[in-house]
Amino acid sequence: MKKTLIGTAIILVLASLVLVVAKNNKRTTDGSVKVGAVLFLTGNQAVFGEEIRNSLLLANEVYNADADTNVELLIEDSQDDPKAGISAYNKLKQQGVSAMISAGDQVSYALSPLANNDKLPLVMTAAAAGEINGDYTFRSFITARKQAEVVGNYAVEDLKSKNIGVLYINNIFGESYLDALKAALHDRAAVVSEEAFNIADSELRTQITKVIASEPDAIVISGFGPGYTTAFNQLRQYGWRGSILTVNTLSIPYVFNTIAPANLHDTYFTDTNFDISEPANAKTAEFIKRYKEKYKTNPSFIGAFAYDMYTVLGSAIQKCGSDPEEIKDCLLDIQGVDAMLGDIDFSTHEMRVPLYVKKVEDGTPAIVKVIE
Amino acid sequence: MDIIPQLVVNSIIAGAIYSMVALGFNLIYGTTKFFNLAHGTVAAIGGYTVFYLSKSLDFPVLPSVIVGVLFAGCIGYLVDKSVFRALRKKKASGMVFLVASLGVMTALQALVAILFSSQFQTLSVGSAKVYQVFGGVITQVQAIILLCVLLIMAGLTLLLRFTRFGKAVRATSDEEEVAKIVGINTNKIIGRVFFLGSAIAGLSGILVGFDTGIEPAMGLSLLLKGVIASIIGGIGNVYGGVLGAFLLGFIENFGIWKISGEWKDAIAFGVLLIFLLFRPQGLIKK
Amino acid sequence: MEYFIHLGILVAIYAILALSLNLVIGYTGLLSVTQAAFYGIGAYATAILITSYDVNFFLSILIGMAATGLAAFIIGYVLSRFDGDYFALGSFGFNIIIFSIFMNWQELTRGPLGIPGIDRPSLFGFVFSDNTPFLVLAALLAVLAYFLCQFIVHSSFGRVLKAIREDEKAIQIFGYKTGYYKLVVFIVGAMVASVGGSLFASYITFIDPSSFHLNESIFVLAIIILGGLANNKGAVWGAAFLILLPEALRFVGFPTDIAAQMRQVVYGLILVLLMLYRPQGLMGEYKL
Repeated sequence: MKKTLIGTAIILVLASLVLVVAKNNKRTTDGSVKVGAVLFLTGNQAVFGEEIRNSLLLANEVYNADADTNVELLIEDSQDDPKAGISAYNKLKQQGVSAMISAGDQVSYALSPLANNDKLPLVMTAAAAGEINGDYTFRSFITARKQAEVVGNYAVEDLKSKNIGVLYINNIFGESYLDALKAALHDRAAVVSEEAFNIADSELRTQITKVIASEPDAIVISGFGPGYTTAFNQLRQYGWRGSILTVNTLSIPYVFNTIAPANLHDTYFTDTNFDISEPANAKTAEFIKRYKEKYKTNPSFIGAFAYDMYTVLGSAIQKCGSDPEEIKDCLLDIQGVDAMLGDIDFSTHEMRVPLYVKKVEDGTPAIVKVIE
Repeated sequence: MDIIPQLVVNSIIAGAIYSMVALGFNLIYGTTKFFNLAHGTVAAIGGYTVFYLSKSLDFPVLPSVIVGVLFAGCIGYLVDKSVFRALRKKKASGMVFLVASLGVMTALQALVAILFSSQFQTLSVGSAKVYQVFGGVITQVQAIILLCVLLIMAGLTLLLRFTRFGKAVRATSDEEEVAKIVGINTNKIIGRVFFLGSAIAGLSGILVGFDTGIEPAMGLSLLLKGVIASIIGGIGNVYGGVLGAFLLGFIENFGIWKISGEWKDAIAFGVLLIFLLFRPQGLIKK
Repeated sequence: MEYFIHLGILVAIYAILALSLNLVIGYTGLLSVTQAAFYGIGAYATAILITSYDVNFFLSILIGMAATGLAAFIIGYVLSRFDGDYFALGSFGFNIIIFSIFMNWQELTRGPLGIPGIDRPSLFGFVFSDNTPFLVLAALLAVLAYFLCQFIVHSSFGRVLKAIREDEKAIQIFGYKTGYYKLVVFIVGAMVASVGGSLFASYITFIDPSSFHLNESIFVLAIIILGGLANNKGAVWGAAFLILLPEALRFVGFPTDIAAQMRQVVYGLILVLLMLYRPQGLMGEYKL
C-alpha cells in the first residue's frame, strides 16, 4: 500500500512538472508570435539538427532586430523518433505556436497528418524523400528524387556513361534516390551494381570492392553520415580512377574538408547555389560570416535552407499576421523574399530553387551545368 | 584490384578492429561477468581526446595518442570505482549492471556530443599511405591496427600468465569469492583491469579514428561486434576473442559479398546465434 | 490537453509492452531483449493489413497476434536451448535480425520508406480519429492486458513460472517440463506485445523500422526494472515514469544549444542513481 502511494505521488509530481512546462510558456508577451520547431537534436542525425537549430536561432535574431512583430522561436527535440516528435509537437501546440517547423522524413511523416488536422502550417526541412500531403505541409529542401534525376541525366548525356555502379545509404533517402536514378537512366544506361550501407557504418570496404569489381564507367554515391565520408577516400585507395557522381552532402564543409583533395578529382555533385568559398550573393556572405562568428564552424546548405525557410516564415508573419490560416495562404503566394538560395516559390508546397551540377577542380567546387 | 584478395584483406582489417575491442572487453568481462554497455563509449572518449589534443591544441600525434589511451583508461577506472564497485558490494544481478551501464553510456555519449558536437571527424591528416599486399590494398593505419592487435595480445598473454597481477586477475575471473578468501583485494584488481581494458578500448577508438573517423555514438556498434567476437571465440579467453574477431570479420565481409551490405548486422548476429546453438562455449574453451 | 492525452496514449501502449515483458523476465526469469521485435511485427501486421488490404483494425490485431505468436514460437523454440546470459544474447541477436528483416524485406514492409497513412481504428462506423476516444481504447486494452497478466500470474501456471525463476533444476525433478512452460510464456508475452504494436501503428499513422530497434527493447526493460520486476502494477507505473520523465525534463531550462544533450545526461544519471539506490525498482518483489 505504501509503495503504491509513493509511486502514485512520484507520477503526480512528474505530471505536474509537465503541466508547469506546458502552462508556463503560455505567457504571451504583447504582440509576440510563436513559431515551433521539432528538430532531431539527438540521435543519428543530430549533426544536421544542430546546424538547423543554429541557423534558425540566427535567423530569429536577425528577424527580430528588424521587424515590428516579435517572433519567439521555441525549439524541441524529436530524438529522430516519430513518437517523441509527436510529443514535442503537442507541447509546442499547447504553447500556442502559429506555425511549425519539422526536421527529418520520419518525424515529418508522423506530424503531417496532425498539422493538416489542426490547420497549422508545417514546413519541413532536412526531409528529402517523403511525399508532401495536405494543404498545410510545405517542404524547404531539395529532394533525393530531384538530385537523382539530374545526376542520371548528367551521367548519360554529359559523361556518356553506359554502366553505373551505385553506393547508397540504406534509408528513405538512399532508397528513393536509387529508384529515381533508375527511372531517370531508363534504357540509356544500366545499373551494374547497387550496394547499400547503413547509416551507422563507418567503413564500406567490401561494398566498394564489389562496386569496383562490377566495372562501371561511373560510380554514384548517395547518402550521408560516416560511411559516406569515408567512401571517397576508400574508393580512390582501392584504385578507382573514374568519375564519381554524388549528392550535395559532399558540399557540407566538414565532409568536404575531411576528404583528401587528391581524392576528389573527377567528382561531380548536385548542389544549390550555396558555396562556402564563393558566396553567390551578399545575403549568403552575410549568413556565412554571422554563422562562423557565432558558432565557430562553417554552415552548409542545410543551415541555408533552414535560414531561408525562417526568413520566408518571418516574411509571411510580417505581411499576414499571426493567424495560422493566414500564414498558410501567405506562404503559398509568397514572392520577392530576400533569400540566399534563390527566388523562393512555395506555390507547389515545395521550395523551388535553382540547382547546379558542380565539379571539384583543384580542391574547390566549380559550376559546370545549370539546371533550372 | 582482384576481388578475392581484397575481400581477404578487408576481412583481416575488420577482424583486427574487432579484436582490439574484444581484447579489452574480454579482459573486463572475465572479472566482472556482466555486459558493460559503456565500454564502447570509452573507446569514443579515447578517440576524442586525441582529436582535441592534436587538432584543437596542435599537439604532436604520438604524445596525443598516449594521453588518449591513458585518459580512456582513467575514465574506465573511474566509472568502475563510482558505479560498479558499489553495485558489486550489493551483489546486484547482471540486469542491474546492464541498466546502470546503459545510464553511464547515455550520459557519457551525450557529454561528448555537447563538447564536440555530433559531427563525424577524422583524426588523420592528408592522404593515406597505401601498400599492395597479395593483390589487395591496405593502408598504413590499417597495418598499424593489425600490429597493435598482435602486440596487445602478446602483452596480455604474458601479463596474465607470468605476473602476480595476472594470476590475481585469473583467480578473480574464476571465482571472485574464493579469490577474496585467499586474500586478494578483488576490488583493487578489478579496478586495474578496468583501467587496462578501457585503455585498450581507448586505443581501438583512436585507431578507428585514424582509419575512418569518430562520432559520439560510435561506441555501441563497435562494442556489439567486440561482444560477438568474444562469444564466438570463447568468452574470457584472450586468444578466443581475437580468433572470434577474425572469424567474424571474414564471415561479415564474405557475407556482404554474397548477399548485400544492408544485411551486415543480421549476418553478424546470425553467426552469433549459430554459435550459441551449436557451440556456446566458443571456439576455444576457457 | 491534447498533450496530456497524447502522453496518456503512449503510457497505455508502453504499459502493455511492459506487462508483456514482465511475464517473461519478471515472473519466469528469462532475460529477453526481443520485445521490440514482437511489438514491431504487430505494428507492421496492422499497418500492412490496414493500408494494403483494408482490413478492420480490430481484426488486424488478431492477425497480428497470430503472426507474432508464430514468430515467437520459432524464436522461443530456438532460445529455449539457452539459459541465463546466453538466452539474453540470443534474444538480442533475434531482435537485430528481425529489425534487419523490417529494413530489408522491402516487398513486404517497404523497408526504410516505412508505411505512412495508416488509418485510425473504426468500429461499426465509429472512427477513433480524435485522440480522446483513442485514449479510451488504448486504456481499455491496457486494462485488459493488466487483468490477463494478473490472471496468468496468480494461476497455477504462474506458480510454475515463478518456480522456474527461482530454481529451474529443482522443479524439473518434480517432473515439470520447464521448456514447455518457458515457450508458452514467451509466446504469450510476444502476443501481448503485438497488441501494443498494433495500437502504436494506428496511433502514429506512420511506422518505419527505426521504431523497433534494440533501443526500444532496452527502454521497455528499463521500464520494468524501474517499476519493479514481477509486479504488474510496477510495470504500469514504470511506463508512466519513463514516458513522463523526458517531458518533465523539458521543464529544466538548459541553454538551447545543449538542452537536448543535457537531458540525455540527466536521463542517464537518473538510471545510474536508481540502480545504485533502489535496484529492485519501486514495487519490486523479485530482488535482482
